[in-house]
Amino acid sequence: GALLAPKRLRTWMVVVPVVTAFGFLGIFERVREFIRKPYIIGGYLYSNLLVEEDYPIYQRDGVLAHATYTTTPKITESNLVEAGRNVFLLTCSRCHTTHGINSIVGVFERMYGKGKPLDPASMAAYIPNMHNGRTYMPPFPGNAREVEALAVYIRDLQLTGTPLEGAQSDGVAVNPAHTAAAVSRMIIEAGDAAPSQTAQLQTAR
Amino acid sequence: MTPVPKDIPLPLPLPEWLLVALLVISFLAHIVFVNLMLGGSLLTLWSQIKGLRDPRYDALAHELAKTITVNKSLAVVLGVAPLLSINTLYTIYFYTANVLTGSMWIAIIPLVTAAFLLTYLHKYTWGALERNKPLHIAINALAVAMFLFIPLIFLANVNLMLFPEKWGAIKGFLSALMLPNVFPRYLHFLLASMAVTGLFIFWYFGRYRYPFEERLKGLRRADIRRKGYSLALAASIGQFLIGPFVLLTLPSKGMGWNLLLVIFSGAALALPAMWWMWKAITGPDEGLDRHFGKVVGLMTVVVLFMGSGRHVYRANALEPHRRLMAARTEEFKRKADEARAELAAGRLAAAGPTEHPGAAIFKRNCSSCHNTEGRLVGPPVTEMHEIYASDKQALIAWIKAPGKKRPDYPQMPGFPQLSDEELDLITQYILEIEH
Repeated sequence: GALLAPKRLRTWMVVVPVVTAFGFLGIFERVREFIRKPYIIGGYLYSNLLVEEDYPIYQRDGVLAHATYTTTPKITESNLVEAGRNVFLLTCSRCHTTHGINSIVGVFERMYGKGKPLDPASMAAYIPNMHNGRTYMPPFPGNAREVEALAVYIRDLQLTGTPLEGAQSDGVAVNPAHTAAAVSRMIIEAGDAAPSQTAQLQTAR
Repeated sequence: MTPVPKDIPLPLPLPEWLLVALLVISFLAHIVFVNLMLGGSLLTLWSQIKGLRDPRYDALAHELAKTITVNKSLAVVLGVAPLLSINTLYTIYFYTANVLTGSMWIAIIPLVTAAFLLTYLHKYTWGALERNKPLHIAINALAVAMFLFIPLIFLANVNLMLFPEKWGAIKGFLSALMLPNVFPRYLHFLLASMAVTGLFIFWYFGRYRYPFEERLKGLRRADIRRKGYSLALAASIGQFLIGPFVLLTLPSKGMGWNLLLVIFSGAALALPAMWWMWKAITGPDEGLDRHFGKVVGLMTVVVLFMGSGRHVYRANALEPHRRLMAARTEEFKRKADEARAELAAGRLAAAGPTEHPGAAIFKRNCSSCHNTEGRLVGPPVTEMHEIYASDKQALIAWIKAPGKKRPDYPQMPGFPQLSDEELDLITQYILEIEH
């Protein structure tokens, strides 16, 4: 039509196909979003950006121990909420906000009911098992202590409404176990480095 | 403290030397068109402002404006290859810098989109806004402001990616922008834009097929071409001041004899080109074209040297850190292998259950929402006992595909993935065991 009789072309004849095309694209994208979960790369990388085959080490040591950036490499009684926040950042924040779209508080309030404080013990029992019932959720990658901290943090979020800022405004804190100094010490201790390499690495900060 | 992240433990999809060559060459192609886009829009603005008093320059501005949209399309399309290459070669470095500059990095997309739309608007409303030059010029000025700002976002990022020792110290885009040596590099880029655009103007308005006399009445072809050539020469002279400034303000960790060799060779090769430009500008009109091919050829080589030097600096700067990152990645893989082996061994060694086999399956799949007594998320086992005591099959059907009977409870997810044997064990556990 457009080629053979351009003068007969009306605006709606162009607008309708364009809108329809975007509609089809939208449907396709939405379906793809649903069928990919809990993975980003099926069978390899979960939505939380952790590789499936690394789950044994994370579930043994916790995700915090292996995180490059965290203020709480180890969980103690006094840093429980902050550790929980860091666990949330590493394992949940790819898909859940704290109080906004798909908020973690909202998700749990819908499950347990609104109007009462969330119970950390219930959440700590639910989180390690949620992927069995809700198959779009990746399994929780941390260890038991981290589940506890996370549950305490979620209740704290519900009660205090504290927002969670990102690296672009808060910056990052480097985990002391994963600094250049720590890694070069590890290399030297492993005895892998040749003498000249050792000298070079020792000057790294 | 310098962070050492884990690297992606996968091999490169192409040999590294090939990816590097692709990166450097495709980046140079991209940046030349970015230069033309920026330089072209600046010159259009200058020409249109000059055209308020001298209408001949308004016509020139219109002609220049027609080239911006073409060059910007090429710039964007050619940006894909270097973006993919750098993400493959320097994944962790590039991605970290992007995250640390956060929304400003993402803002490139809406800013570029807005700038493009403004250039199209500017180009196509030349006639309609004939009587409202201030508004018309303002549209271009806004696009120019964006074109001047957007490179700063890129520069802040490609600079930040080179300095892991700074990643823990900065907070967002503005602090990244202040790191050395973003602003010297920016000045270097601006001058390069003017140089490339000057050469473009010389060529564009010199084309045999271009109807100069018809479109630009009152202007002389040779005059405009001379202006373009002069701009290129002046900008190149400026580079001999800004270039050393960039070199001296570069953080020393990337310095090396290989870098200095490449940069000085490139700079030296620009000198004959500038000499030829000078001869053409100060010579007669008939001699304008004489050395142009050689000038362009030589300046292309200069650009290749500079682009390579840029990569040499990056490689020098990141070499020690890449080795640290490889060591950490290796160590993590070793420990992850250990943990996998432990887990496999642990599974095999697990003692047989002394409790009902359905209890373990129930614990894994159901106990997160169902307690023995009292409501957790769903009703307790005691209620299930009451409802389904006489109809085990109905319970199995419900578990596979639950309906919704209680309006004030959330919808239970289905468990179609459980085998008949597992369902049998669970329902046994629920209905037959004393709780």
